[in-house]
Amino acid sequence: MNNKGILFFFAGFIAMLVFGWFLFPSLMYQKLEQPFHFSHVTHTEMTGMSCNDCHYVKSDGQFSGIPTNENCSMCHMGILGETEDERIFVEEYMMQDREVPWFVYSRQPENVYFPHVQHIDFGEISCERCHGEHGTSESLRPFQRNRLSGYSRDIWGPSISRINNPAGIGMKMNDCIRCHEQSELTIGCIGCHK
Amino acid sequence: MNNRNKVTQDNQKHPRYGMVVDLDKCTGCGTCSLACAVENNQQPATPDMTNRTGNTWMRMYKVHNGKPFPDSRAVFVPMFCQQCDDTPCLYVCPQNAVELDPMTGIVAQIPERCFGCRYCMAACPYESRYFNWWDPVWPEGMEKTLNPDVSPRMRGVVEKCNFCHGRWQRARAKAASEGRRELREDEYIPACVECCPTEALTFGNLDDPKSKIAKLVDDPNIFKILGRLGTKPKVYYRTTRSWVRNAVDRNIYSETKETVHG
Amino acid sequence: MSKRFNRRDVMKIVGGGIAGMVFTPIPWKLIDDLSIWTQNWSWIPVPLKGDINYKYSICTICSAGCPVRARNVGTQPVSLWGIKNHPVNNGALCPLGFGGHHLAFHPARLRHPVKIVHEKNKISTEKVSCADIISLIRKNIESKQTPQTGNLIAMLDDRPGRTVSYAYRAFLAQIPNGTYITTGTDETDSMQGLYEILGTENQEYGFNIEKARTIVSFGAPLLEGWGIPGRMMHARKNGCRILQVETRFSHTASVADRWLPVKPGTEAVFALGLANVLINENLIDTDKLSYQSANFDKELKNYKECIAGYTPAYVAGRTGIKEELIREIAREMTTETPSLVICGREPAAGPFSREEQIAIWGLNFLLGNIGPGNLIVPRRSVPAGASFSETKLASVKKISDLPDHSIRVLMIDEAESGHAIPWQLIERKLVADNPLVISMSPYLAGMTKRADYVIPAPTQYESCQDIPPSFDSQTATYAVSAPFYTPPENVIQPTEFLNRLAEDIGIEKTNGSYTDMIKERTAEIYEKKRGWIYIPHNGRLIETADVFTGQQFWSHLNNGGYWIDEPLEQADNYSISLFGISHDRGSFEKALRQIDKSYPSENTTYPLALVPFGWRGVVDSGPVTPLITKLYQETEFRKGTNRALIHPETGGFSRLRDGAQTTIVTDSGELQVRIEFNDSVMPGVVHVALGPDQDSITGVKEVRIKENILSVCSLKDNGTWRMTPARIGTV
Repeated sequence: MNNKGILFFFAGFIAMLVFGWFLFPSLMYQKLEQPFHFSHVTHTEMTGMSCNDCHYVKSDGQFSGIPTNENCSMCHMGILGETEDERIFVEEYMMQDREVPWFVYSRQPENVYFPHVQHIDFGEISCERCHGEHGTSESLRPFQRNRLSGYSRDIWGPSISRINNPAGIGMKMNDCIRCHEQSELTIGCIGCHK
Repeated sequence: MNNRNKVTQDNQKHPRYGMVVDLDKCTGCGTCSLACAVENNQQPATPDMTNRTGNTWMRMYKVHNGKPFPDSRAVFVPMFCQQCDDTPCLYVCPQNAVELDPMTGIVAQIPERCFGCRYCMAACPYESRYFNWWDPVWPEGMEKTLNPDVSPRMRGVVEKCNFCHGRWQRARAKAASEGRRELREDEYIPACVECCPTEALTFGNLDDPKSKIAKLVDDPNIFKILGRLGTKPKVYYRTTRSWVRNAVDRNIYSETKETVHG
Repeated sequence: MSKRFNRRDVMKIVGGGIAGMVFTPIPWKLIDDLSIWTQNWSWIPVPLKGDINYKYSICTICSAGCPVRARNVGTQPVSLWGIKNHPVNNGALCPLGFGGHHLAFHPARLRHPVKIVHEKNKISTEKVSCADIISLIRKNIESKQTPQTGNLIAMLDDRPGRTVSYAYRAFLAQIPNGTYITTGTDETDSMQGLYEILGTENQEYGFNIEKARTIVSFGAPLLEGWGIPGRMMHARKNGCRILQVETRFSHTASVADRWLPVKPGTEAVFALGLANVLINENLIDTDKLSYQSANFDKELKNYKECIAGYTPAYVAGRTGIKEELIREIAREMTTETPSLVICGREPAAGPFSREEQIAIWGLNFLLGNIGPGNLIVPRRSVPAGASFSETKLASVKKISDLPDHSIRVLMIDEAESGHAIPWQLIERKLVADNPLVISMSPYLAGMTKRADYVIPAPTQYESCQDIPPSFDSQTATYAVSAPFYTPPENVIQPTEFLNRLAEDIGIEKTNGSYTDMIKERTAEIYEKKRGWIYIPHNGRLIETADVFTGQQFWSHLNNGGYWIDEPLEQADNYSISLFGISHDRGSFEKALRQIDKSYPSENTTYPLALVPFGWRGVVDSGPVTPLITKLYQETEFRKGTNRALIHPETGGFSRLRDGAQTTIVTDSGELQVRIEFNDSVMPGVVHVALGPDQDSITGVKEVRIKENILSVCSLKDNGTWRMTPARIGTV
């Protein structure tokens, strides 16, 4: 009888471990499809554009981020090619003069200030270090939105435990701090919080 | 990569920002208060807010010479966080929401970390810290005019003047895009300094002997309000009139927000 | 299984689960997400994101016309700044200017033509169409064609000189009984005394403030907002001395080099006392002055006789300023030169009467300040534009000059429509039975609350507006306030409303849109090829002659450029009369005696002198940025509405307590106020603040017409209300 009691206890224990490690992460995040698919490969390989053509540091030191319709309109005045995604983009956004409501994988909370320019120019950090191989992707992976906080899974990182995350994986404050500490940078709170 | 950073970091001497307020030049127009509110996304008062529950990082006081009519004279004193080097609010914060910023010397308040115990408000001898009693509300549509460089705060946290650190961040990004790690003297100034029509406010790096402010601080007419408390503020005041010096020190110390002549 | 699965087993599974949970990410992840969630409430607004760019325009809150640089996110301005080293205002903005971009979102904003229903305690609005209002006006115009009193169709515009003002006047000239009026309470009115002395109708004058070493200010709030505020601030920074002649310990008085607290109503007496010393101690340069006036000797002799009674001893008795000090000030005016005398107005206490103005401005003649190259310099007028130079224009009248009960239809322009004008001043000119009052205002606040109908006008930075020179500018200037916003759908430009009305009653419309009219005006300025245009983007002054085309000139102006005329080398002929052209010595003396008599009052019913006060812009220009609460409510830096400042001794006499709620009683009524003891107030005087109305700051659910201190002030026939005998009511 005692043994059986322990058995029940462990059954609950194991079940919870399974739940917590394998089911819970996917419950915590809601998968959302982007408004339409965008292929970085098509843009870089077929048209010969470089990353800097769309994502660049402006003269005032601010990062341009995701290009707006204004940038895209240089080529996409009409429908180019035959894909459904192109049709959606041109007809539903460009023609109606609406910006595309992208889900941004790396969106940080409002009180975070991240200057790309210092990291690129002084830190010499490659884009891939934080954004992964996004620049060579064929299509956009689903956006995993945290049901509580609303932020992307990319902020937390792919590993739910966040133990032994390699450098550049995850974009939580601890990830920033770890890197800053390794580089022996003296940066206070207001260096990154606005 | 890391090595390079190490080298530059060790060689780099960080600025220590401070301000000088010339009380003989201030005419009490109140522009700095408004410019500060616009720059730092402070909310307008709700009808039930008073001078105790409002939120005025840059607060104007009218300090009186204490003589009755017709010998009255007054001086206008802009009062804001004095950016103490020996920082009472930092010592009492149980939450690490206050920090003496290593890169600028700014006493940094991090509202998102604050849980609203208000020890720091009790500790601050200058009464320059403000508690958000309400969630900020702007008239419909006016939230579009908020400054993108400063995040709006929520209710239940303490906030204060951070020397417009949003401007500092922007200035650094601009300098970085030109390959500079250090800022030039005029690249970063807080909103109140930029707007002052009589140039009563001077801002700069106290540790840079070539800066305008370093020369001003050597002036014998410079004083620190409540300097005797030893909190080592980085905000200095200047006046050539001895009564102003005495009245400011005495009145700001002994009187609370509610009773200083306004 | 031998035994059935029981409750205890369930507990064990649950226990195991709980124990297991500690070894899963669940609690840690939830704590983390929860804390991030609590830092980012969905109802806290998030600022706009986008490209930062800069645009230039001109502030139109008051008539100063300060240039601004807007910092924009995309097309949305997020802050406004002055333009460093701008030749017009040296880059200064006032507190209100910093919130100019907020006004489009003001809670008191009206977005549709409305009828105002006046109920007992509050007012409410009903939507109407613009056509309804037009037909009402037409009916009123048509039914009363006979030219007798009681039938005036009037337009009230307190900021004349704008293109829209010319459009009003052209419109009014076409309809029978059309009358164009100003209230005569704005700053420009304080110049009228000077123009009377100079005897010139069409020659404008301005001040060379930058050159003055001393400024003797009679009640002008020099450092709180006067003229173009940045100019005075700049002069102050450069060490200009200020001697403030004012009863109240105002902000300007508190930091002035000397505060000369004269008894209320004795400013003119004090001025004549100074004149007396200047003349009798031979401090004036008669040789130099004789060039300025045709019959100088006779004039001076006359004037000398007139002011002979205002000896320092007499003036000291009247004003409360010591005899020796009066002599000292007069001497200082001739040693600390050049010294300028300015006659101002307190925004809430209103202007001085014409005779007081003449007495004060006259000192400038004695000091030799008038004329090109001096401190009071002539300047050219800005042309009205081709469409108005040929047209007949209604003349400019002051409302107090109209007979009582003469206005049937009153249209009010949106500018300067705050609550610093006593409504009685206007009300008593309206016909008794059913006058029609229409306001063209963006807001339901200030004077608009008294109207019957409101045509919603575009607000700050919503439409192209032109800026004629401020009254104090030493040369002619012209600028165009370029819009940042598109106005809401049902908002109607006042000129557009006039055009619809003109069409309806069958008279001539204006040429093209309002912007076209302004363009025409700039074309005329360009054709003269005079002066410079200041380009804010690079801080350069370009000569107008070097601008290639009129289109280019317009485009400079429409992007924040500021046209500045050359100084005028020679003025039109003027002959100075120290009594003013509309007075002779007899009437001047009589008027002064009248003023002199009014204080101190031996009146036992009303032993106190009530002097109201307020801040320019906040009380007279209609709604202000909601952030003005930083100065009024969240601090007590400026006194809020109905705060009564009184000397403790005066208070003690009336058995008052500090902070007590009480009433101020005058002949015209009574008002609830809150007493504040302040030992800088002159004993026997009570100052009551006219602050911003709650509905002109943050808006309120229920709009009421609140009585303010001006409604108990005694309004004289000449349209002034500077001082009122009063008492503190029994509580």
